[in-house]
Amino acid sequence: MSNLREELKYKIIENLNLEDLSVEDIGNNDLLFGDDIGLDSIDALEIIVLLEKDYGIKITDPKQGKEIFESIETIAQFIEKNQ
Amino acid sequence: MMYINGFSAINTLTKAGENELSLEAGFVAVPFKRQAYQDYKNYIKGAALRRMSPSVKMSAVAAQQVISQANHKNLNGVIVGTGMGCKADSDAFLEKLLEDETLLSPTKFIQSTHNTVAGQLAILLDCKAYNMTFVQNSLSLESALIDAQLELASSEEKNILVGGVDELSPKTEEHLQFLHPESTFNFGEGAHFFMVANQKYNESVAQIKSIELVSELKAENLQTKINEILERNKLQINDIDAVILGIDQYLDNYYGILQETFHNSAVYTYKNKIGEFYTTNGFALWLACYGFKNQQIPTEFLYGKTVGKRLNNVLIYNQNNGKEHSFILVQNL
Repeated sequence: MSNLREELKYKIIENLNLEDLSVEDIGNNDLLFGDDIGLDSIDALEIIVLLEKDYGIKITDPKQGKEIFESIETIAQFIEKNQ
Repeated sequence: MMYINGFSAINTLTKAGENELSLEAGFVAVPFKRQAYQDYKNYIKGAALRRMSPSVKMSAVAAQQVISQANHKNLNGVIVGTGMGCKADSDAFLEKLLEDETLLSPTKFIQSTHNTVAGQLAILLDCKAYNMTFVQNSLSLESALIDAQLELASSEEKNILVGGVDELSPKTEEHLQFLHPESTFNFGEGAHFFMVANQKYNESVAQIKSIELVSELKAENLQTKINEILERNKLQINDIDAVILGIDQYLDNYYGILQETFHNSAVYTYKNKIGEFYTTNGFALWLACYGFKNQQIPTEFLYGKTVGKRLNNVLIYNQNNGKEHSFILVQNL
């Protein structure tokens, strides 16, 4: 289970080019779009593409995004539920 | 009237933020130098930095430097010339497109347009004024300079940031070899920016007297063209203290004609030092400004004999395999 969370952290760092962060720097419950990690709307688009490409999950309702992308934990739960 | 009030370069010879030459013998390929000359963390915030392509990073630092040199005057426009734009992101975007066109990275798409640099500079500098990008092969920077000249041809005081940028990507060499199969280029990259104005200030270093572009020019007509330029600017051949030539692997007779014509002037060249790219002539203009400021161009760039004249008038000439000729006449202040 935790492998998915580590994998997500790695992929987010890689795809979003978060040069200054390592997997250890991101907590499972850290706010991705808040003060903790500081992602923005373009990053959200990148994560949508990542979920579809690597996990085959398409987010059909954009309103869901805010809850799903809150943290690594919420994204992982969403993947586990929908895969 | 177009005065240069700030000039900045980032390439294999000038580190980010230093604007000073770091000369080494011979040409040093970009991948071995990039870490040394591209340390941007002191100039761009981390959050913005992570999404910037090499072109945007180089331009952002060079732009901040010229604005600082020009004492942060109000900016009335940003004009950028680039031959290939943000090449690395364009390559990445096109490769993803070939893999699966339904799942494309938005960042690579945003960064893969040529006007990304000018747009990013506008955001960074909070400049909501005129914003333009010129993509015109090896005349991209010169086209940007001519546009700046037109923008400045008004009576009101104006300051414009103008520059040229091109970046090297792992695919650049492959693509350029495809376009120019006969070439033996040493490829390079760099950003060269200038703060230009229609007013002369205390910090003004040079005046661009003339920029002339000719797409097709036969070698036998080159001399006439030079004479026309000099005559229009009320100058004689002996008034030109130095010529900076874009001599490359095409050792054709155009550059020979220039050398013969200006045999009493110092002749400099630079592509053997910084490599070939579409806006490489920005370095020649930077070198002229550097020469005016220091009253000498380093001897490492000499191509031929030294002439110990005071540096007042410099003619910059470049062409691309017998086409796309550019003449920039620049005068010390």
